[in-house]
Amino acid sequence: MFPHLKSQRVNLQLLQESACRELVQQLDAIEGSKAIVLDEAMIGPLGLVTTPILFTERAISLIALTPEKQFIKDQNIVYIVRPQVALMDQVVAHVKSNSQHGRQFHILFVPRRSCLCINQLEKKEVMGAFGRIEELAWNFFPLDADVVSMEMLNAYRDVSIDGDTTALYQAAIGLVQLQRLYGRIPKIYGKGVQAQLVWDHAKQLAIDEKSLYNGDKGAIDQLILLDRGIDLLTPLATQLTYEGLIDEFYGIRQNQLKLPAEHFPSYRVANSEAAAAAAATGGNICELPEFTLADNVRKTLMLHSGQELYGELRNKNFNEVRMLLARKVKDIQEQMNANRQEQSLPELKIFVNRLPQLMEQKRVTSEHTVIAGLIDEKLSIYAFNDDLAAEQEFMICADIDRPSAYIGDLIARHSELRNVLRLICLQCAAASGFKEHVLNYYKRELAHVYGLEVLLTISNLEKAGLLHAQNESRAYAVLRKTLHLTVDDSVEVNPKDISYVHSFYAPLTARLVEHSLKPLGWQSLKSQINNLPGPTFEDFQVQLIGIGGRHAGGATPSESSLLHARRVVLVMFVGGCTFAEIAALRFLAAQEDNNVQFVIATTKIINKHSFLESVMGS
Amino acid sequence: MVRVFSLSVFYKGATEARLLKTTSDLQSFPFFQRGTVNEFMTFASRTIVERTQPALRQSVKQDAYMCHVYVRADNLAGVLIADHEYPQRVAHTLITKILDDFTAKVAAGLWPNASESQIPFDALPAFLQRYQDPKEADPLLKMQSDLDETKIILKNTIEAVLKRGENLEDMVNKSEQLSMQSKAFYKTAKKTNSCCSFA
Repeated sequence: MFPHLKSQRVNLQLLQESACRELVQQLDAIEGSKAIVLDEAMIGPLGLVTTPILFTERAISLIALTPEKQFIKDQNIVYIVRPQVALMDQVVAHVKSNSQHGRQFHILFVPRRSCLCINQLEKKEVMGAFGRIEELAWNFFPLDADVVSMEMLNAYRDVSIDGDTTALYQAAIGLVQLQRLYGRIPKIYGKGVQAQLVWDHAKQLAIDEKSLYNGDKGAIDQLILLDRGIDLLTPLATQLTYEGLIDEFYGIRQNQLKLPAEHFPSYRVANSEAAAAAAATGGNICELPEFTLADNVRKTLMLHSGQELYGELRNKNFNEVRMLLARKVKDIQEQMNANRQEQSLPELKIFVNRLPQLMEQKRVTSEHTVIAGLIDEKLSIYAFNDDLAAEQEFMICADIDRPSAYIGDLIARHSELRNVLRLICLQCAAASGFKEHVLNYYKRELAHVYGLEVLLTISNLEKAGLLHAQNESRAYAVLRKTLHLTVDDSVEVNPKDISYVHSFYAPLTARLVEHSLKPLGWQSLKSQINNLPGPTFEDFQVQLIGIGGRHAGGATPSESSLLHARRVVLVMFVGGCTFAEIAALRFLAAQEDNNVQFVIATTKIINKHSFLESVMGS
Repeated sequence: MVRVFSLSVFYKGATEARLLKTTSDLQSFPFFQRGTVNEFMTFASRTIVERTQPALRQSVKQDAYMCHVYVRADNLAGVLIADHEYPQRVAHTLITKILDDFTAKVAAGLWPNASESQIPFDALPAFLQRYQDPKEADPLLKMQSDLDETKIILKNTIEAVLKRGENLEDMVNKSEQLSMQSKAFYKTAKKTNSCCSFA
């Protein structure tokens, strides 16, 4: 089920297999029949490392975590949950209602057990019922051949607002795990406070890992750690790639997209056939529960690089996707309408052989035509286009030091708070901070319309660095010119530059990575990069020689000889990254001149909605 | 219409052709003409055998009819009279078959001298009926027509399979509409860079 993970030099299928083995080990250590209970947030990630067969082979059923008593006939109940106290309460309720004689409970914490959680269990006096309490050290989940994610949505929030650096520590552990699997990473670059913290931890942990220093350099040549806090504009901007738009409108969770089934013709056909059949037999249509047109009948689509058409479309600007899809549909139409009367038997034979492939292409193209159609509808809404225009004006620094009339209008109309705050924070990021009167104006207007509670939310945004007063440097304005963050002659179809992902704006993080690929690396950006908050750091991990542990000098000879081979660069976004940033990096990798392959790691793939929500929430 | 009118087996003697067995299907002729046609056909067959060298096949056009004749090296001859549409190859295959069959059933010694009633060969009428449809005679032809029929079934099946799933027309319309709606996302290109000045 995971062949798409292994297409690159860093074979992420190894990561998936290693995670799966860990689970199997833990499960096999429990005697007797078992059932696994998961909370909703864990179901997706579990699907990223295991296949259903694993559980059916062992006759293990997967159950959702709800407080009611459920009909479970197994001797052992295993909870696989993250170490969150709120989840512990749910687990306790479940244990209490599902206790029965001879039953044992176990917990597998992902990725690490927590004393806080165990204390909670003790407080609720259920510890006695638990047998094994273990960890599943799943730090990075493989999402695709070149993307791994910790699936920690609130990482940025936890660190910047609550001061809880657990996520950073876990990221460090994850980095060491990756090095254990793929080898030592010799060169490290980083920018930002959180990035530095991750690296400090990772370095410390790595000292204990003898294997890292004894072997040759591993599959990854470089690591670039980027703190989300150095570029808060990009995650707030509307993404314009196909995948980005799907995520923003519908949400892609662990490579899965759920849409109402009624949009898909095969569903409608099946439905009408069923209705016809029911009518023919005189039966009652209502008696066929699986065909009711309830809203909750959803079709799940898998979206990852294993789907060939999706792989072609996902990273492109939506306008290019329109044309591509139309072309593909025409192509299929030609093949299907080929005049079959004229064809001879050998030609027919060839056609029949290719028929399954053609039908599959047709089905997949049809699905994406439907999805693109749905997105197109959403794009034609006035509000979307007005918001986009306002965003774009901010991004080119037009009228940035004044309260925006557009935002004032939105507030007056009591528009969705999340969107209003997003635009305000976007303006703040582009202006590199608000003048005091502007900030006060917004706070006043928001409190008037949305009530005083909004001030709490604003306080969170300030702690997170999304809203702040102006300091001396106009980092964004300067970088916009020096790094060409906005380009005038933007091309959305067949682009030559990464700015197509937001139509004319190149994500700052992506430009930083782009510059790091040049011969001088970040040296050429010395002055500008210091405008961005947080330390800029560089580090080496060199091979230890001999028992005494002497370090080999500087760049090892093997590295220079590999100049002609593609560099593999691991880019880690501490705090989240968007699909648009991933698309930009993939674009860079696709350009022959750069001679690079990226593996992208992140705490979570975010979009403008999820990022803001996590920071707004308490 | 494809029809076989008569089948005859002759023995080509030194001076004349001796009719050994004959059969005919004259349903397509008006009742009162049948006797005459029969005689004519027998006469034509005899004549043609006499004029054909041994070990030779011939097909002779005679008014609206084709006479197919095969005289074997041992002077046993077969004549098939059919209309123009009856395939020549099938006719000759059939004659060969009948002669082989005849040879197997009737001793060679009887051929030169026996009269028609003495020859114990009754299979001719059955042959005639069966091979009214040339496809029965010729496996090749039969296969060809089977093949053609299969091809048609195949094409229909393919069409049915292609129709499954999403309606192609709908998909084409949707995708055309998609591609026509393309508007550049970057709207504010015209706006001058009224960029912030340093305070």
